Amino acid sequence: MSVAILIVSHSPDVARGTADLARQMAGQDLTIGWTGGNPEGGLGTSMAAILEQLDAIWRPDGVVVLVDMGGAETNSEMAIEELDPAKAEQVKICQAPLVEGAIMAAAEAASGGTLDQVCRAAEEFFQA
Amino acid sequence: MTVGAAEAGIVGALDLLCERLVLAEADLNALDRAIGDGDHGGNMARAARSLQAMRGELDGLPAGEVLRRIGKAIVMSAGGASGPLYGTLLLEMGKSLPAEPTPSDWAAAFMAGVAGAGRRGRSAEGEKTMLDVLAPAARALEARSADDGAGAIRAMRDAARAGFDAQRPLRATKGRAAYVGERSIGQDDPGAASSLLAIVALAEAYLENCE
Amino acid sequence: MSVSDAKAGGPGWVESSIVVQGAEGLHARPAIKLSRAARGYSAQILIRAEGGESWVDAKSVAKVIALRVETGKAVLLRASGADAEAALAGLCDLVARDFAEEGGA
Repeated sequence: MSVAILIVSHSPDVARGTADLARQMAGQDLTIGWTGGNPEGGLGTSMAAILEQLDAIWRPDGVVVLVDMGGAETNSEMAIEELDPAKAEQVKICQAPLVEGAIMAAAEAASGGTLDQVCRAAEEFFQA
Repeated sequence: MTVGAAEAGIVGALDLLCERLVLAEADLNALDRAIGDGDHGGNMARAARSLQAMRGELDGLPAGEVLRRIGKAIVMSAGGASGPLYGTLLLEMGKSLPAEPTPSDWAAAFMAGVAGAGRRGRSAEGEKTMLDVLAPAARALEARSADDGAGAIRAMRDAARAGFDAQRPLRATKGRAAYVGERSIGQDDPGAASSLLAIVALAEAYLENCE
Repeated sequence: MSVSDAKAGGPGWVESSIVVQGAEGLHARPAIKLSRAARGYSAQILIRAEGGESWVDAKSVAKVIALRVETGKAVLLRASGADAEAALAGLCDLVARDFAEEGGA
């Protein structure tokens, strides 16, 4: 099994599209979840939706979370805090641009990277 | 002397606060359009409506539990950057409040809540955020918590107003407003505005309850 | 063993080169397959585009993609370690069959 990827954007369209791009890069074997929009479906982020995705795609190899601005990161942090501490340890939010980071994370995950390696690949995109 | 949920009139204060937040949606959005992404009013109104919807389950609960439930509901419903911030404030406040809180317990809990919000948002005072209203308000309440309740609440409200005036000339360095740069100077931060609205509403409800 | 040793072509390194054939060059999926395969070996494995300046770690998918090797161009591979020969043979074979999955793999 490989590291899973969760894409969290303020826009559901951006989240879905980014997941599509990442999947195209890395093939069908990866688990790539996505979520976007506030609890009413408008632009924004929803802690509950993020938590639901984390629960759905979590695995022992871990999950990297790619976020766009502010609220996406804070809501993701809060969602991770809702997980069992043992599970929360295996979830990392990457400090990377959403789309480019997701693509590189997917490439690294598909190459067999560990959680740390996948996150670093996303974060070092501009340094590769 | 303890000030439990009923004495504090929490649920009544909540009613007034939620009403005001729903009414303020357009104004808060307008502030947020100037230096953010325009959705703060919508987020706060959504949170307020979800609190109104859960009002029934809060009656009779201890104050700390009320605050925790409200905090959680805000996180789940607000959907913006402010959801986690206000939610964390109330969750931390609720966790800090003992079973039979004295006025000074309330003040300490408020301080703990504000500190929690600061950690969550990785901000401090002086960065043109809600903290510029909430931190002075919490300090004022703490300074006066040994005095009469009404005096302490008024001091808290006045400190909140002063804090709001003080944030206006600041330059934003946090959140979406930071992208706006120089243009944020002279604009009001929407989070500071909603914080002021909340403190004023809560103070009003408490003072009315006293009389 | 440092990258500069490899540049100098020091002892303990074996080298080979292979032409990239697939239409998309050494981009995306092929790069992933290459780096994934490289990680299967304990040897240190470096890769450079023909005419390129620097040797990079073949086990790093980001670095392999960044080489931007186009179809018809060659890549040079260097390996050092216990299974270096096997690594080069395996990776060259992978590129030569245009990253097709091995039968039954």
